[in-house]
Amino acid sequence: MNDPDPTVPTPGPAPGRQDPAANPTNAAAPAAPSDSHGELRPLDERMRELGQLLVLRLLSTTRVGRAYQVGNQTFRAQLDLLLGAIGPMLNEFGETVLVALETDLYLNGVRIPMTRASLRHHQAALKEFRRRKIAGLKIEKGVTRDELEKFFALFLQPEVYNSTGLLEAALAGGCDHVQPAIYASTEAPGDDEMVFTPGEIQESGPWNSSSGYRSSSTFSGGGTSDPGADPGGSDRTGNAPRGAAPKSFTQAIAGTRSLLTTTALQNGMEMRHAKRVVQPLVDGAFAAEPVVMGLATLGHHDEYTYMHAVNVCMVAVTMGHALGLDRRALADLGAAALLHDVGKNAVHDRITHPIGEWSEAERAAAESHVIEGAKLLARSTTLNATTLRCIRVALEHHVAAGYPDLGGAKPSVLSRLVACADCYTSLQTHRSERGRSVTPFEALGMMLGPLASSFEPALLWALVQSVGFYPPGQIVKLDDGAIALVLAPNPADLARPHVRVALDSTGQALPAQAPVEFRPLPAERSITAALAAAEYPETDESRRAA
Amino acid sequence: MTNLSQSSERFISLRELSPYAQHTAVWLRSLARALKMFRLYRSENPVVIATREQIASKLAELVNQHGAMDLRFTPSEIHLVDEPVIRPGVDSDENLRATELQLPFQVYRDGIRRIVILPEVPLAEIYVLFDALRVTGVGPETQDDLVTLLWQGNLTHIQSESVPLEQTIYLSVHRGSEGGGGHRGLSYAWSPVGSEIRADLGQQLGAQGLHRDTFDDWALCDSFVDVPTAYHSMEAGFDESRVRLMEEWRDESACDWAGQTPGIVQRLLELDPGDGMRTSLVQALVTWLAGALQRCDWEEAQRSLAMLRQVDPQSRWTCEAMTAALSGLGLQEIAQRLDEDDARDQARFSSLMVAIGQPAVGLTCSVMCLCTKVRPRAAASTAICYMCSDHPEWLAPFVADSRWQMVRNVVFVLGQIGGAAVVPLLEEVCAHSELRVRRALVQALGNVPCDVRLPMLLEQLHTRDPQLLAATLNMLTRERNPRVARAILARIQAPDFESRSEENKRALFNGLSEVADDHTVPALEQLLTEGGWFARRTVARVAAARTLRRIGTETAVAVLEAGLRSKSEAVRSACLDAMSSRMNS
Repeated sequence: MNDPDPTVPTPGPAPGRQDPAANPTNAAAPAAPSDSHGELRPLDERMRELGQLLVLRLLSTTRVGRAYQVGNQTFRAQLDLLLGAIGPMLNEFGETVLVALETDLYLNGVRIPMTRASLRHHQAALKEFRRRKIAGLKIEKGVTRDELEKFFALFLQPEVYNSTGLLEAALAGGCDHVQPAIYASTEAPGDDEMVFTPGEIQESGPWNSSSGYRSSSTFSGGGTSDPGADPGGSDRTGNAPRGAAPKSFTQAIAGTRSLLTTTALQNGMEMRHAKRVVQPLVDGAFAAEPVVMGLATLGHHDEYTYMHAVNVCMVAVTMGHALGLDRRALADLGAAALLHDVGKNAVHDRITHPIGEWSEAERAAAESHVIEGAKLLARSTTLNATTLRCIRVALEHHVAAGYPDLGGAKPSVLSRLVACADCYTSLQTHRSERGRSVTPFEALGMMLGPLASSFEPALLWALVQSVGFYPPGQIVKLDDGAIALVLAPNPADLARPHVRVALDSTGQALPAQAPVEFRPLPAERSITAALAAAEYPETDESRRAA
Repeated sequence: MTNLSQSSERFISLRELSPYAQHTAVWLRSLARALKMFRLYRSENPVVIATREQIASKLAELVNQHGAMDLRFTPSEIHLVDEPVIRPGVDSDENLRATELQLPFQVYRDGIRRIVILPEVPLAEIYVLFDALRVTGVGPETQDDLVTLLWQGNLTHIQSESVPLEQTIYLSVHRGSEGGGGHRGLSYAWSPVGSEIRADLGQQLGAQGLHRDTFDDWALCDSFVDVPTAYHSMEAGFDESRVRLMEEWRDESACDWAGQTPGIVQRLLELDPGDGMRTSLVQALVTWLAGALQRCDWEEAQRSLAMLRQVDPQSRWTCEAMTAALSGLGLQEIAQRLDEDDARDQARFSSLMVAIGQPAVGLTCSVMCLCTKVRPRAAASTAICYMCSDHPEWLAPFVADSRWQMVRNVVFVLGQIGGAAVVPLLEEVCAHSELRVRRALVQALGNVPCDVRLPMLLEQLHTRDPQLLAATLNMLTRERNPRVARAILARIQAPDFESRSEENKRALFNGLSEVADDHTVPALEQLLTEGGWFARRTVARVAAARTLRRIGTETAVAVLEAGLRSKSEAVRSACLDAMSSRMNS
């Protein structure tokens, strides 16, 4: 990802990648509160609805285009309807990408749901795309009716203009804001592949390629007792290149964002979606993936809600797995952890000072966020076993900190688990000045030291099993004097995690092209110290920042 | 999927499939039928248990004999690798097809594209699959989708391939390189660093997104301990604590969530007894109630309703929330289940609907309309009578329903309620195009005060439907009313009377004879004698003579006697016929 991304991701469920350097032509606008249309529902839900409408409009335009000449008043009326359907999306995201992946249609990365009523339209749209040998359409902000008319004049001649021929003709005809998407994939193609931008397309020569693109699907099953029996060939053994955070982390963030992106959540939340979000994380826990890496990768200063929610979720799920909870319980735990702090939304504007300087009113407001969270979840979800657990967690996860007063009742086990994960995660990402220098090791040291009495030993045990003695992201000094970054815990030996050496024993930085990694640290090697933030070696990045 | 479509075109009939595919097709059909049965009957039903075992054993036998069963799904088809085993048009049995054709869509809708069942699959795993299909096949919205339910089952021998709800899609003018890192699903494709993830979120440093989390809620400690040392010092207590925690968890998860709900609701109300909390709780409890109704779990529904009464005793928020929640239920499934339920459950349903009150009127009316068996329909109509007896206007939307069955049933219920209050609603269906509705209306008018029902009944006299006419006349002639006599006579004297069937004509004259008096004699005399010298024997003439005979007053008899002396053979004959029957009687 350090190289410019050669492909063009659609905005996705989140409003898209924002690295303009990587995608100069397609950097979608950041998500904005969609106040202009009074839309308060979650983003993905709106997208699904708009997707169904767009498919309908596209089909009716195509059908009318077959019966009437392009330019006819009736056809133009259809184009106006099509523009009306995509208008809100263009205003919000800057572009509308409707593509087919196998038998599914996606609008800006969100799968358009299929109902019995819409099945026919769905299949007709797929057929239209297949007929033209394209994956879909991409329409950008600024598109006009004339431009659409020009494009449809080509689009309605599938025998003459199809595949890249359609794209070339569209570009030649000046359709800058509406183009066919030739191929769509869920995997970023290699560097040798071309970018979907007009300028680069024109320079790129022949279009043909014989190879197929990868499956977009997730193969689940092959549970814990027989992981080798996976016919889909899924690779979940944890052999991550570059010792990196798994893709599931980013997916979870996108999912969480989608789940929480709403101004009030008052129009309902799909707990089914929350469970789908946490599934990769739970699978990661079962496959002993270093899921907590995402936590460390973010560094100390992450202050983003979605990150915090996902981090707490990952730590809690890993702890739950260490304790022996089954998948069903872990799914509930994950969903509850994702949503544990939703109540903060209701009180955030009443708190202006950091935690150490709170007034009485601010303290009361902060303490009420747990009740607000429970209230909000009760209002916006369907009450069932999972949501009841989520409500309890939202209400009870601060009992260890002294609120709310449950009248002697004990918080649920999941609440206590989330509380422990939340506390540990929060200590690492504290917003205070001192918090900026708290290392993962110090945060864990606080949990096992001053805060130990707030949590049961079993929870602390599970936490240490999940993150090791030296949590991911911690810089440590090895026995030979080398400085290394902890990549992932090693459940077999908590004192010897997976590490990447940053500075050798002479203090020389190792070249990034040839990293030295121990996966895990061998028995003959040991960690002699966990470095404090002030002792962290300078990196190129930090030097540049300074 | 294109390959699958091509394979559908290639195979013409079931007989051309491989033996394994044929067996699979047969098994899938039994599964589809069994799933319907699982939904309709309780899981403890012996027939359900036996069918489950039978279907599961058959599947196990198939995969053990033929190898892994690799099923691929499209919205309307199921393929065994590339052989279509379920698809529209293969079978001629429409009923069977209707059931089995729901299966591919149900699986596909939830995102599953492939299911592989491996040899040696344990029966327990097959049951998980059955349960997941049963749960997700009910109603428009269920708690979990198929993907989650199968995933939660931690299945080792049943594997499913699904598409995620959302994902980043890359567009390109080139196809991706085949096999390059070619693993399916979640993978370590690349490793984002913090800044990249932030970019993914579309946020700049300091921004908080739409969901605000702007303050810390855990205070930092002043000190920390050396982790390995502290861990080792605590090590002795870990095992005991872990055992205790897991025991607690087992107790907690064994406890029915519905049983825990009252305690939690109570606690929330203690912490915040304000209206905001009550509205939220009402919303939650209403969704619980709706879910229980969808699952036809009447006891659970009763429990949730009891909770609702506690939280919102004045029903300040319940009605609106409940109306919205109940409007989204899958009514067909509830009706089917009620058709198969025993009398006790039907009674429970009925009493539950009465307890819910107005918000349940729509649901009950729909059930009454959709059920095919008499008993649940009777239970539903009784419930509606109780619910709407003081507020028949609650039924107004259903009187205007586009389904005539619904209108007929509601009219029947209005008749059961009776009284003047139902008249405005009944008036709306006076001119309903469906005869069966108007017949129900005439019956319903029996419980309406005479003075208000009369105009509506008279309006029905124009009908030519013998059943409706007979019912109307029957209702009209319950009491002698000159207005009725005049109205019937007007129908008889109308120009179109001759075009009516004999049955119609006789019915009108019979009706007239029940209510006629001396005032109608002149008109009847005219009917009797019309035609003069050339009069022929007609149904009207004979009927007029008989009507006069039944009136039996001196005036009427005088007319008959005069008729006996008529020059017209037809008139004499009609009068003689009437008089002789009088003497006989």
